[in-house]
Amino acid sequence: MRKRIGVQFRKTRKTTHTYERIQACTRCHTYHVLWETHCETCGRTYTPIRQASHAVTRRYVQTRFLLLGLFVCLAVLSADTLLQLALAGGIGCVLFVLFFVMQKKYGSYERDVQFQHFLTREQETLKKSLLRHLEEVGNDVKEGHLKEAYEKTRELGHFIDSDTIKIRKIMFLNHYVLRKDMELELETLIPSMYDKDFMEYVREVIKVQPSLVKKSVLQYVRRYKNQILLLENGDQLIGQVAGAALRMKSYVDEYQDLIIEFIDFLPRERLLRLAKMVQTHKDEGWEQLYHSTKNRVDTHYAFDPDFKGIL
Amino acid sequence: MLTYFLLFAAFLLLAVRFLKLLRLKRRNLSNAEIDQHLHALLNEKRDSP
Repeated sequence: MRKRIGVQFRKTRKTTHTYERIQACTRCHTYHVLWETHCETCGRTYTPIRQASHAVTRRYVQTRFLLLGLFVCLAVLSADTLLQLALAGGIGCVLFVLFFVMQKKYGSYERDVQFQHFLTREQETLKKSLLRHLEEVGNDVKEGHLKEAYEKTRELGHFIDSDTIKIRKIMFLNHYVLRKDMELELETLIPSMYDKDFMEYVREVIKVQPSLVKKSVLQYVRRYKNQILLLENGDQLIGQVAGAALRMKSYVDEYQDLIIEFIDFLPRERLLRLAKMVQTHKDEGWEQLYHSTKNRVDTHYAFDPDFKGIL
Repeated sequence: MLTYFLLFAAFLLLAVRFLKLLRLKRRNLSNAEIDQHLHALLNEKRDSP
């Protein structure tokens, strides 16, 4: 077993949408997804990507407005009579007002669509920027700065959905002592294939933040049960996961088979919770689970006062 | 005559712009859709030539 070290990870920025994490350097025409606020090359403050895209849209709208203004001005200048002059001026004013009203009312829809087009146009530059960050991670690993490497990979993981990134993050995390106060992740680390290191990480995470065990994790454990059992204390590990599933009734409903199979490996406190749950819901299709729990309690906790009278 | 022609051109420009904005409004792109698009762009696998 490798020796884990204590560490304090940098807090990650909370955003509603992933694109909010992208910062643009408008001078160097590069993108950045880490925590720096100024461009390393030119020193300019980064601009959020949406703002950079809005600037492009604004310029487009301005050119349309200038074109409209040009037509109106030429109409005024080419007027032969006073009536034509008055008409050109009046209609011109009405057209300007209409342009502003339209812009005010529908401009936001245009900005959204233009932003999507902007992202498509910038796809290659964005990919290059992410690749540059990945190279930085590689350099950090070479220099032994694993904490920085993890923090950078964690940020990149918001954009790149690949097993390579997930497995790298797991490998970095398995170097550290996990604590309750850390911003840990689990669902986002689930690889598409079985990974031994991931299960070792699950083992540690459950000890500190069992609430991270969600449906996808339970699904993974159920799918790769046979491989997990080959690990050292694999049965205990599945028992721990099954114990974490007892947080929600819907999980118990869906993963009854897993809980029944590994009921012998449930910690005492989890078994107590299960006993209370099955007592309440035994008539809701939990008969088999009820019998397995009762059997386990009767054989191992028959004289335990906490279990007395529950089943 | 040129005045009327230029005013008509200005009006046409505004009408085209109005129709375009109306089409974009109907599309009503949400932020979640933009996010999804970004993910698709960054994770799309290129076919090898």
